[in-house]
Amino acid sequence: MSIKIVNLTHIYDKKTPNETVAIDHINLEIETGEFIGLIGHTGSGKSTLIQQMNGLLKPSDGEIIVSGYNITEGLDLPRNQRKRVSKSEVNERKRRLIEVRKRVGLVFQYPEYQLFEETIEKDVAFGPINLGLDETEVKLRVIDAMQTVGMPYEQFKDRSPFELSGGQKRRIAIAGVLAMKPEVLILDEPTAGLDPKGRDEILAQIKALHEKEKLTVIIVSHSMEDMAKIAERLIVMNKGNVVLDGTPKEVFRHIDLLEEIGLAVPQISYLTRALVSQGFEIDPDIITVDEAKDALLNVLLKQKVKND
Amino acid sequence: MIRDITIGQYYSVESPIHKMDPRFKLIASMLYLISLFLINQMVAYLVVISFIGIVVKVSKVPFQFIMKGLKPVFMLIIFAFLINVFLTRGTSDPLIDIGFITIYSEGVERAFFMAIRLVLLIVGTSLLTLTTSPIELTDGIEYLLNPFKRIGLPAHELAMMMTIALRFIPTLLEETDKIMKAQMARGADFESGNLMNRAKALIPLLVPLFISAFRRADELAMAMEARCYKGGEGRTRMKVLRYTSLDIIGSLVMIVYMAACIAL
Repeated sequence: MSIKIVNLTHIYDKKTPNETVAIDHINLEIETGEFIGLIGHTGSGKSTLIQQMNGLLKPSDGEIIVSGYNITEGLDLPRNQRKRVSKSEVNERKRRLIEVRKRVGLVFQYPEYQLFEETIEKDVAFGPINLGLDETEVKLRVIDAMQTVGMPYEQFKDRSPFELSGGQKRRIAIAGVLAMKPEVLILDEPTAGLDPKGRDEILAQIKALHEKEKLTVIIVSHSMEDMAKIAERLIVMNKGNVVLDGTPKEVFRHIDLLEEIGLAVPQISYLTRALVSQGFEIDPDIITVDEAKDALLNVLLKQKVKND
Repeated sequence: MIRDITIGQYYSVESPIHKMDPRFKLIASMLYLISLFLINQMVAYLVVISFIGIVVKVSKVPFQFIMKGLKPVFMLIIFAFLINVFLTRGTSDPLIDIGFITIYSEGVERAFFMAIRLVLLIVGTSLLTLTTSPIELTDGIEYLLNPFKRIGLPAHELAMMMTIALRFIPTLLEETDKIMKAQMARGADFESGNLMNRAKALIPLLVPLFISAFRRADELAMAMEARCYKGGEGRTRMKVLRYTSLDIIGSLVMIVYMAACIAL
């Protein structure tokens, strides 16, 4: 599913003293099946952007088109002149929103705090039921989604979501969104507050999902290491604008710019830069530990050969 | 939509009224309320209106801001006015007499004063909350309730509870907004449907909200205990309330005002 963002603008508290421009005429194009990392300092507009992609916020200007379907259209009820909103208008809006949410799934930060049902099965089913699917389809999707996040249906379906561990709760919450079978999956800091093991598991599952289902994935993250490892394309935002857009290697070359806007590059990039400036002959674009390991071994082997 | 709700409508500017001791302001407001029920003459109303007018002017709170506070009770005022107009029986000849509707001049007079009284009441009390921050207010209440400790009233605990409640209102509003959005992303619909459906739609919002409120309460209790909180006994304050010359001037003004109200 390709996403096209045209001239998108969002202004909070328009025409009040608190007026703030959260997103400033952004243009983006995202191809089907891309794995995108969205990074930016707090307040850079990333949360606003992803909420607009899900129809939770209506843009002040511009539009978002997901595979030819304009999701920013018709989100507002016509509220002008105290006109009573007709039933058909309400239903039309509801239908449009469901269309949007079928296409774009959004997992918020700390999604485990949104669990509410008595059993895990019911909680995961909440989304699909809201989409108006029939019972058998809902059940199939629940089984499928739970399997995807590594929480077998038979084992967990009747347990309460509140007796699970933090990482498990989060996976159930993600399953709740996956069960809606979105074509684009957006995750806001899916690994925040998890231990290293939980973090790696979740990232691995997202990656697997991306590869298996050819799902377009957008991850918001503050961990440059994670982004270097899994993202195929990085979009860097600052003050409501896209400042950098490219592969992780391209983006992480701009160390100074990234630091200036309150971000950083992976630690391994700093190490690489230091080594290069000390005269090591390695690729300056190294961003992951594995690449660094290979490159350094190579250099050391060469030196050994030379010395011998 | 949830951003629009304001509780504790403190209007932050620098003014003599803002700087006054909350204890004094509380007592003065109480006296003002009493004065409203003492008076029953046109002249006295003029005194009260000019008094509150001057206080508003000194407090530097914009007039429109105070009027905004009147909006929600506007219907109530109209209602009280109409009830008094239609239901008061006078001794003189009725002004209007059409079938079941009879209006006496006493009725109109009483309705008019009742409406003014209600407006003055609301303006006066909202002036207290507009010029006193919630924290100051609870501090003041704690002091004023202190004498009742002897009869077993937990003044400090009450004040602490109020402070904590006030502190967490914005936090919980933010949390509500977040959970609402998260459930909306899962297709929940909070805005349409009949009453029953809307009530049901609140469950996915309320359950997580309660859970997080309890979790926060637990964490807060732990954090307070970790910092050796053990109740009000022997506890000193960061901001000690002191009477200043402003309060003395205020007291004098209040005495003169009350005397005028009683005399009239």
